[in-house]
Amino acid sequence: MRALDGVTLDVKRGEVLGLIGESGCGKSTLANAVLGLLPSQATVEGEIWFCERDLLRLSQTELRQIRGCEVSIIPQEPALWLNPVLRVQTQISEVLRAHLPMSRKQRCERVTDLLHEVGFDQTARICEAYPHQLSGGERQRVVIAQALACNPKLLIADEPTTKLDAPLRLEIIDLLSKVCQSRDVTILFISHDLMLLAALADRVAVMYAGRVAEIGTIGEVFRNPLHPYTQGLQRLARSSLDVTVTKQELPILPGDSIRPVSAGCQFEPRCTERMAICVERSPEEVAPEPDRSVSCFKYGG
Amino acid sequence: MADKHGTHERTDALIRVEGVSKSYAHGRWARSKRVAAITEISFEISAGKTLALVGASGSGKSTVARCVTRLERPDAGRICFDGTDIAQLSRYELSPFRPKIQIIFQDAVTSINPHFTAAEAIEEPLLIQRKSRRERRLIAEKLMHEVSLSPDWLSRLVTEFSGGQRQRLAIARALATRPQLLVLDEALSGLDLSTQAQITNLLLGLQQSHRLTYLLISHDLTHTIHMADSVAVLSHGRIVEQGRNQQVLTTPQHKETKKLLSAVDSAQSAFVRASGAFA
Repeated sequence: MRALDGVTLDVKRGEVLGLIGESGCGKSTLANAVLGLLPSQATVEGEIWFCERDLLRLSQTELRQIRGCEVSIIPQEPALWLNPVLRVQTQISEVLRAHLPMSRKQRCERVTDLLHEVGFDQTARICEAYPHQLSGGERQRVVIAQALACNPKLLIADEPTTKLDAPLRLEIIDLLSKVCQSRDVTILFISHDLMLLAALADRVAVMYAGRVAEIGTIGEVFRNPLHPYTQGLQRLARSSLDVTVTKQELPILPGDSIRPVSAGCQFEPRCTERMAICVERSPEEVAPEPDRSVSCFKYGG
Repeated sequence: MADKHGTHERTDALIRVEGVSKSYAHGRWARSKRVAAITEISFEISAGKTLALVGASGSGKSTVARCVTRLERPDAGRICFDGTDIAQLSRYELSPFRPKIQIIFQDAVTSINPHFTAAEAIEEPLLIQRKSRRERRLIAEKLMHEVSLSPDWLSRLVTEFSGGQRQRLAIARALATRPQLLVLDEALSGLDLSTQAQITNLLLGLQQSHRLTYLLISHDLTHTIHMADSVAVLSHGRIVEQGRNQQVLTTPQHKETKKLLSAVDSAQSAFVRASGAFA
């Protein structure tokens, strides 16, 4: 079972790269591959370069120094991520203790600073609280504080807002964009929500069935999508936000969710513009414009 | 059907909820403090229409769903279903109403027994109705077809289906008893955009063909735009605004509604900025 197939991506320093795709397309697998968190039966081929080091060639010890420090993750479900029997204070200082030479007092101060940074006023209450005493939004802020603890260079946010309600979602997005500006951190933001990405990301990579369908700046991809899958998504997002039309069917992408195809383009079964060549082999990545790439035979493939 | 609690009323509303309140004990002891989850909730839905109940997490949406489906007994108030007050009926008295009111939960992954095959999941409610094996299979095949799943997949395990497909299965299961009212408790949340749209279209189609009435519960107004006829906004257990869908979306009055809408607005404006849509 191939979860990712020939994914080539680069995240530039200081940018927010959005990674979008439906469930099962390999977004989270990619994130976990970067962090070396895939289960032991998984084999990863290729190269993952981070600050002039190939993460796949590092030993577990070296990787452990990078993970949580230079590269950290904001998980989807903070309720499952946080340890239920440790106070917030302990959980955040644990990260600091693992990576930075700091005294207990310094760690305490740093935790308070971090909690301030993610928007808490009563830091004392939060420090003393156990995860179950916090609301969903508060818990998400706590894991963001934890992720920021060691000044990471790269932050991987794996659908950090999926379990939150709409207003809270926006607060978290605001917080992330603030963090991004004030700290010069690079963010890989994984989501299936086009609207959230539009609010936060600089560039976007669209994934379908373990492959990158299209990459470009957020404006270009949303204004002029090239890949038929992105085109369908954009049409759908546009009409699903249109408050003037109610009780009307949405322009859906035909066919069921991702099912691996043995040969040819993975999107072919759902594609409205399929050609004869689409069933024969899978398309190569082409760059119709600078800083833009698409995998589809329509553009030469 | 007349009984000691129910009274016959002539009204075109399929379900009318009047002044329903529910509180839960805070803690395990009999004398512990009670927390009011919902207070004097009133709304009605006409047959074949959709009411969207929206609110932030913790506003009491799911308690309303549990009271309407009588998974919980409300402390006070009336729930008139098709002219009968079902709010205080006993388990036995409720049994004729159970098939007519069905609920679909957010997480189809956990709401269906993972050891079941698709056929078992759909046929279970029919088993309770003592339908024969043959009849059950026929109905299951028809339902699979209606939710656009292949009837050949009936023997597959529930765990072999994807998230969107499982939500379809949950819909098929809910339809098995030929309900009049379907409560959709966050049934669209947690699905990605294209799956969400597919389920939306499926539900709209089923509403037409089966004359179903929906109570759609969501924290996200974007889910309700295309489904609802009217909207009720819930805040801290009370309904703070209620009106026709278009009206609430375009001229919101209460600050809670505005807060929920601002999420839609800013998503929309970010999207417009990026894509130039609507221009």
